[in-house]
Amino acid sequence: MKNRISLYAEPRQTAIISSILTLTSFVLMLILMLSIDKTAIRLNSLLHSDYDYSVTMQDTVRKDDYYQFNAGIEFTLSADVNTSLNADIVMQSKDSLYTDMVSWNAESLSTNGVAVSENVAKSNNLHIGDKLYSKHIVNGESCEYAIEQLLPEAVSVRVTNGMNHSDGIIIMGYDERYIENITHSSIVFTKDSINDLSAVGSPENIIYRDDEIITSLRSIIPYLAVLSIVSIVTTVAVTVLLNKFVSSNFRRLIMIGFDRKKLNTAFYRLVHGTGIISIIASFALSGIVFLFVNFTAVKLLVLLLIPFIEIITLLIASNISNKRLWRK
Amino acid sequence: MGNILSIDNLSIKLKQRTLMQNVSFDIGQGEAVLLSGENGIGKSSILKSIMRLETDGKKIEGRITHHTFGDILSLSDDELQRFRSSIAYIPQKDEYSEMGRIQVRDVISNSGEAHAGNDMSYSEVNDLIDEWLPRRGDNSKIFDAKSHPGKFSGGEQRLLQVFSVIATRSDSDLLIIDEPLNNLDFVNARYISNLINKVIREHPQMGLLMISHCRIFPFITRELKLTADGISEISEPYTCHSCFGEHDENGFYK
Repeated sequence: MKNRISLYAEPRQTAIISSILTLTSFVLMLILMLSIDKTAIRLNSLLHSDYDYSVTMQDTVRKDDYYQFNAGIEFTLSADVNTSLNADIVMQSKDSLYTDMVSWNAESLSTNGVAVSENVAKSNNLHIGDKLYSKHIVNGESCEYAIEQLLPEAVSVRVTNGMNHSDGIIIMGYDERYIENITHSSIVFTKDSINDLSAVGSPENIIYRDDEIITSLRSIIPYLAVLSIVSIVTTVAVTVLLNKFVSSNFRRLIMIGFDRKKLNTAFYRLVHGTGIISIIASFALSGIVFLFVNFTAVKLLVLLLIPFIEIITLLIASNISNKRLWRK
Repeated sequence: MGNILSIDNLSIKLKQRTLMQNVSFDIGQGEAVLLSGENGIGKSSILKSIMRLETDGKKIEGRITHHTFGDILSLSDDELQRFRSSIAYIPQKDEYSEMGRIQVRDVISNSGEAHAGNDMSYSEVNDLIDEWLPRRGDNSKIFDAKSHPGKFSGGEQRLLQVFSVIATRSDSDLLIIDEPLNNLDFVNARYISNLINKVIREHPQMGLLMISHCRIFPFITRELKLTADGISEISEPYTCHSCFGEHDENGFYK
């Protein structure tokens, strides 16, 4: 006896269905990645940081803290351009020690040096040594700043419920004139207790890193939910169509008494084979596209979600279809 | 001769509706039994119950006993498939047009493979066709192993369906046929009558249970009539009212 039973699926129909699933799955992954790109960067940088919370204080605590100014500091790509880079801008303090507690911390910068997060650098084709320009808030002169460091991808300094819309972070080197002349406060990233901080100043606006992570995750959920539903519907439709293509043959083979296990193996080989090849193909296509962007663990996890949902749906839907074939 | 199949007090209910009840009869070795009755009275449901097909939502009570497999209604899934593979069952219609790239060889080989475990080559299938079916006037085969039944006419599909089971399962002890003459012209109807006649003559151990509204089969030995009240044996001998021409003394049409 032959080991394999054929269900005589039409190769052209199967190929069309497979292509539909591949393309849909690919488009879904593309939409998902574009929709949550910034949040994925934000999550990645939060997960790679180690502080418990951040607070604002009046003075520096000389460790993992940055000055932020109420006056708007802006950077442009050239001296005569008014369009500024959309980034959160903070300044290093004079004697602070910057540890790896914050994923985007920079080494100590010079007064006319800046560090730019990689995503801002990439989107503006900036490299180390390139110049950025900013009108000095104190004397109004246009100053030239050299990019001294590229930071890991980061979107904003802190995450709040309102989530700002900056594209990245620019860190300035310590500049005494700003501190002496402009209203400012410090953002401190720390694991110390509130009591310890209270002993050296008045901590305000506490934001816990865990809350930042939850806020970021919550912003992804609507996209994930909608795209997951679309991927489930597509996978179920593909399973139903494949089932329809072979149901007459399957019933004929049941009636003539083929072994149950062999028939089921043939059915699952067709449905799982077609489905899983399509899902892998779409993932490979996405992989090729995303070779051109920075890939982080969070992005990869999110990207894997669609194929994962599709495979689970395929397994469940094919199982139900198979049982219906036998029952009918 | 012993019974191959015994049906004892069979009743079939669909939800609250009783489709049939009090159905009891036996099929003995060498018997050719015609099951008659009005359309929709449940004749096909009896055959499907014997094969345990399309039972979803139905409540089947009573006992269907096969002399080898025992109580059919209590067979496990695997035993049921073995039972189905041992029986020569021909349902009302196979939709070959919905079966993709299937070929005549596949239809015939599948039937033989499930029954006896033998996968058949194209030439073996063509030999089988020549063995069982006459050639056309121009000496061409009625169908070739490589042809696609999805493109056949309704009558040719029906002939293939009947042929594929009879030719590959002639050693079965039970032949069950549901309306073998659907969609058939005179020529194909004669072919089918002759096919059935040939298999039951060459295998006298075989029992036949057949539904048909046409009364052209010279080999029928008993007729059972299904009514709303149950099943009853027709006492008058089965008379063959053939409009297909005369058959010979052995019941074969020319």
